[in-house]
Amino acid sequence: MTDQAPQSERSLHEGTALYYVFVQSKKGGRHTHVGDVWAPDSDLALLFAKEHYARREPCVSIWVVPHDRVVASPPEWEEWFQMDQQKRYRLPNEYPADKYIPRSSAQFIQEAYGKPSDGSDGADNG
Amino acid sequence: MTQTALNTEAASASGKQVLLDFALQLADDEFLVGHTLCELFDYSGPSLESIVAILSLAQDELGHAAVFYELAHSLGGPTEDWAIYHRPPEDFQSANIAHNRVLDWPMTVVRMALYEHADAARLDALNPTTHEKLGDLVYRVAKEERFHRQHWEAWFVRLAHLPDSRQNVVRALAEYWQQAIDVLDVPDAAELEAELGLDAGALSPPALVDRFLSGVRPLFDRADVQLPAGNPSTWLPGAHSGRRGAHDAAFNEVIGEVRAVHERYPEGRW
Repeated sequence: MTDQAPQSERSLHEGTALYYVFVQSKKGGRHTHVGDVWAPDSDLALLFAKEHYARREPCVSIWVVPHDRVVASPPEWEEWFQMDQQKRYRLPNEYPADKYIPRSSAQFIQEAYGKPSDGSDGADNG
Repeated sequence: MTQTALNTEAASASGKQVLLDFALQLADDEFLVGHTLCELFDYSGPSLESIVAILSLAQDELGHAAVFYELAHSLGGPTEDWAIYHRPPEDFQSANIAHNRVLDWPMTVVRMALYEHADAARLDALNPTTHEKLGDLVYRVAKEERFHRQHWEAWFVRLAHLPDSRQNVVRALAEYWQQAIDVLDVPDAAELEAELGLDAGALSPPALVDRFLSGVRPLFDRADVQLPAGNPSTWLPGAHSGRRGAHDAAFNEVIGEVRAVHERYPEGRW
């Protein structure tokens, strides 16, 4: 699995594989990619990840994913991703969500994902 | 005051002393384990990742030492700084395994796996205590120690199954076996019964050793290694556990390292 590692890292990490680490900071929330670990196997990758990425911050669950199992977009897409078109028509800023989402659902979303955006922090608002 | 009340007061005073001793044992063990694990920073383990992870465990141990020193202080013992920097070395109540490190990976793994299991045996035995402060600390510390145990066990099993390191694991087991059992040289359980609301039987050295053995057996099975040779009925904390001041020669060297900066800059603040 180290085949794709840069030459300079190959000897340093001999016998180990690269894992991407995802940490879930609260139940129901999403697992967020926080960094990587090199480890000889997935069990040790989990134990390393706990000490590297969950020793100070809150954590309820960790995923480690072998880096060569991740399906990634090809490099040339980077250019394609550049948004030259104005996308404001795709944004829901004008939609008064509170009015249409039943209160119980809104509460559920708030509990699961934290304080809902009030629209004031969006970059496209101005 | 009635005779009964007097007796209770006397028992309580000596019970407090025993609890203070227990708190210092826990604190001194964890402090020296944490300190000696930090030394691995200077030494190359299997990988950078493994060393960074272990330094995180070391910091946990230093944190455990801090809360147990605090408990000791609240019972009339020394402050944390005084205990570490000024206390006469013979007053340290740590077991020898706590400071007795060798900068070698299989030795470290075996020493720590055994220490963690001995530590778990005494924390498990203390867990049902009615002493509110101690019970709270034991609960919180034991939770972190579960991760530590998993960590050292993971390495232990892997090293035992590698042809190159298996013999080193077996050798280290023989080296540290009695030292791990010596961790279970705890203060007099009869005195603790009243103070902690615990069954003295559960804190007796044979019961603690049983608990320790039932912890390590599944690990040894997974690693496919045998218990060290010897008659299990002789596996009891020895007179040279290091507790009560009789430390081995390496102890003064480690304490000297711990105190070197403080002694050179006594007015230093950091």
